[in-house]
Parts: sequence; structure tokens; C-alpha cells
Amino acid sequence: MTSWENLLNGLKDDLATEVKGEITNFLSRAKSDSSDFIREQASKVENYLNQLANGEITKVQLEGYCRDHTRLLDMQKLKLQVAEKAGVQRLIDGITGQILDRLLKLL
Amino acid sequence: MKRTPLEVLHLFALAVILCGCAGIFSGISYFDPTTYKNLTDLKVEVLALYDTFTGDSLNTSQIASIRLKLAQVYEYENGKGEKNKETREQVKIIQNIFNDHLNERLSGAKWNQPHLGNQKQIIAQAFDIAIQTEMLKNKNE
Repeated sequence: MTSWENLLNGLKDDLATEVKGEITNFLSRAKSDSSDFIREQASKVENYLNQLANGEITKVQLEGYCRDHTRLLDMQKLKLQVAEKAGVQRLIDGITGQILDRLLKLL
Repeated sequence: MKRTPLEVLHLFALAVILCGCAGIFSGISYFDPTTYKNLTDLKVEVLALYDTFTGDSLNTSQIASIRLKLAQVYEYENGKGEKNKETREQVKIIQNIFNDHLNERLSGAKWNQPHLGNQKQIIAQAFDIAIQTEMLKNKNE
């Protein structure tokens, strides 16, 4: 059992049980995601929770990490948009170039 | 093989349509080696600065220098226009992350090793995503 699970188990409270269930579900889904990026983020979040449980980082610092990970996700989305656009650009450039080449040969 | 004038006309019309499509496609900026160099150089400088955040004193001139460079990189990317909006937005996010980290250090206590490791990992990943994005772009050949 990991440090953060031990910490939540130590709290005899319904809310703690509910939170633990939600975190476990979230991490389990994220860690089996098909995206390397999502799996990597989940592993980091779990590491943060363990650090928090061990008193190595503060709650405020954890909030900062979560905010930053949302921003990293936004950056990743922009990266995927670029990959898509670059593919379309290659396609258009390729087709246009071929047609123009053939046209020039004919004229 | 000799083409009839009608076939040539058809090909010409197709070429015009395709050029039109290429024009309508909002497009994307090409790979820029300057952007790549700016981001890779700055990543190393920011990580070196973060290493100093575990100490009691802060190097204000080093901080000012990196803030200025980040602002310059943003203006460079912004100057490329709408075709470069993704990289421009990514650099803005890097600036926001850096400013939050910096403000936290300026207003709080020195960083311990786990926090330093986490902050370095986050900012390094932000730079890496922007660098990888630039490398996905086509070369203007």
C-alpha cells in the first residue's frame, strides 16, 4: 500500500474513504490510458500524493503542481493540433506540387 | 504524349482549385531553427536558475535576465502571426508557469529537494512539449 493510501486509511472518516476511492479510480484509469502522456502525468500525480503523505511537500505546493499539469495538458493539446495541421500541409503541398509539375511539362 | 487543349485546361483548372485550397487552409508556420535554439537554450538556463532556489539568497540579475529572454522569445513567436499561434500560446504558458514558480520562491521559503525536483520536472516538460511541437512542423524546402 502506498503512502497516500496509508494516510487516508488512517483517517476514520467517510469523506476520506470516498476521496480515496475517487483518487484510486482516477489514477487507475489514467495509468491504463492509451496515451503515454496521460500515463506519465498519472504517475507523477501519484508521486506527489506520496510526497504529501510523507510530509515532503505542502498542500499549497500540491495545488501548484495540479495547476501546472493542467497547463501542460493544454500545451500537449496544442502540440497535437500542430501535428494535424502539419500533416494537412504536407498533403496539400504534395498534391499541388505534383499537379503543377505535370502542368508545366505540358505547357 | 500530346495533350489536347481541353485536357490542359482541365489540369490548369485543377491546379487553380488546389492553389485556392492551399490558400484557404489557414496553414501553419514552418520549422524555425531560431525557435528551436531559443527554447533549448532557455530550458537549460531556467533549470540552472531553479537549482539556486534551494539556497537562502536569490540572484536577481539572473532572474531578470531570464524574464527578459522569455519576453523576447514570446515577442519573436508572436511576430510570426496567426500561423504560429500554437507555439505563441505554448510560450505564454511557459511564461505563466515560470512566473508562478518564481513568485512562489520570491514570497516564500527556499525550496527543499523534493519540491525542487518537482518544479524542475514541470518546467522542463513544458519546454520539451514546445520543442517537440516545433520539430513536428514541416521544413520549408
